Amino acid sequence: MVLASLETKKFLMVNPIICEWLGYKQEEIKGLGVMDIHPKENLPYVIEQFTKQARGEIKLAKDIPVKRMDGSVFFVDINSTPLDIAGEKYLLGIFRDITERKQAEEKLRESENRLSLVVETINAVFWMTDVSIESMHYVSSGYERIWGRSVQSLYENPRTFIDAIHPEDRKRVVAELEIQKTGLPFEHEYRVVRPDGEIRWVRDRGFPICDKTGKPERYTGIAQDITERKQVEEKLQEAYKELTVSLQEKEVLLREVHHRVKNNLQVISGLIGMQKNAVEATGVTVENVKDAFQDCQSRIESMSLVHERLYQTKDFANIDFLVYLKDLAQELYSLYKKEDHISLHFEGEDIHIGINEAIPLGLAVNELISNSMKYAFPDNNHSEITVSFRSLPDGILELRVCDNGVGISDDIDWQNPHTLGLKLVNGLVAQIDGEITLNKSGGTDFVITFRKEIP
Amino acid sequence: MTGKRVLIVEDEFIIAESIKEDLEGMGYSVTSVVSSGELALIKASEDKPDVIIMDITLKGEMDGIEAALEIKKSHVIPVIFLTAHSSEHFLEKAKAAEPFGYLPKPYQAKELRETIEMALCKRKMENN
Repeated sequence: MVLASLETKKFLMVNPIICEWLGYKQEEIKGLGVMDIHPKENLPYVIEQFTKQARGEIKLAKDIPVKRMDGSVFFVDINSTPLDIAGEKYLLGIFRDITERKQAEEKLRESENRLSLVVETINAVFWMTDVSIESMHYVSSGYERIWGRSVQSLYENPRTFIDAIHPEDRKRVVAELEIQKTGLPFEHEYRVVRPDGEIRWVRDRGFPICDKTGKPERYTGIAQDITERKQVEEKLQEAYKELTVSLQEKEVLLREVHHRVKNNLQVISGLIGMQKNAVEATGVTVENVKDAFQDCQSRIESMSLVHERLYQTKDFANIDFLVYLKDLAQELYSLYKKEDHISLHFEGEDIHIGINEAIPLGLAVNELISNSMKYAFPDNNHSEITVSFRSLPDGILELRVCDNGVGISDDIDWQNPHTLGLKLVNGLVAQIDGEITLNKSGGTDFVITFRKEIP
Repeated sequence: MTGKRVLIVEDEFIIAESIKEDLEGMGYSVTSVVSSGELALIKASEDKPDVIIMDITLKGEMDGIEAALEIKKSHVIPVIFLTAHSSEHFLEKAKAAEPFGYLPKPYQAKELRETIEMALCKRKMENN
């Protein structure tokens, strides 16, 4: 309790409890007044409250900061009564320490601020509705970020959040929301179409708030934006699909490679067998056996080159055949040691063909170039071999191997030959449904035409 | 010389020709060499071979398994598959045609002869 003069604002009396609160002794507080026991910065407010109390405008001054002798501050509510003592006006103030209440309020405010910070910044919507979603009791500002619509619009029309759900999900969500009437918790995921057309994925969970009888009264929940998670999931699914397809493709490829290897081994085995039979037919001499090995070597090389070229391509399916022919001729040059006196020419276009044509055609050209190198130029003068590859109208491809050598003897029936080389040429051209002709004027000019395989 | 007559169905010329030379070397007679399932049906009827050596991957629309199934409908000629396909998938598929043998490529001449002889023997026993 404090008694202060209205005129001087000096204390006439301060009771011992207040003295104790302020940290003054009775004798120290004498001579002090209102101006001495409040923080300077709060004096205008304190004086204003004091004046209003003196005039009788208010009785209670709330939240008044009071400064102790040591400078520390505590808060009080002051209940006042104006008094007239011996013709002088005084104000009697009864102080009530509200420090604990202030601290509790402060803690509550801090807690609310923290909660509000979480609720308003998290990428989710906190909501509370009645069971039938006719009244929206609370919705956090996350609604504006996720739905792209104002919180106000939802308060006014609580079911408008359903209108924004993707048409493909809406029916399901509406049906699922019926569960609110049963008082069970729910959880569902759906897409929201924002006004700008952007789609957000939402995971919405709701929990019942029941009355004393256990009847669901309200629902509260949280709708989280899970778009990024969904995008990651979709990417993962796509990656998984791609991986599965890739794995299947590789399995198919592996089976195909396995098949090719075995088939090629069979071709090589067949070639060696036929060569053996040919040597036996012509006579087993050292020279014949040596030639037979050389021929086998060049044939295997011609097949190997196709695969070498094939595995340098992206699709493992087609090769640039003119480039292949140049490589093949170079190999034969080295094998038959003809670099010094035969000149090779290549003409034509870069045409890609598949393995089913490249292998038999490569083997056939191998025979034709080998024959030219081995037999066409006995005197090694002005020897030329020209290989050309070009496309003709109607999807026909033409491959020519010609030389200016001595030509094939009229005694040789080149279409029904006894020699293995020409037999292979005719058979391999037939294998790709091609045709072969021979022009004997001025040397040897073999022309193979065939239709490019449709992949 | 066995003198038995063999039809070869193979789309790779070198393989077909070497099988032919091998078979002829063993004393068999090769009635025809064809490269498609469709031609195999025609030659099976025309040549009436004692045995058919059939590749699975062929030219044309019909593969060797389909051709064997068709031949089986109207002929009692044993079919031996000679193929580079060795996966379970093809083995299972080939079983439907009830072949008298399934030889993987690359084959050995001795295996080929044994398989043919076994097929001929089995066919003979079935006929008896």
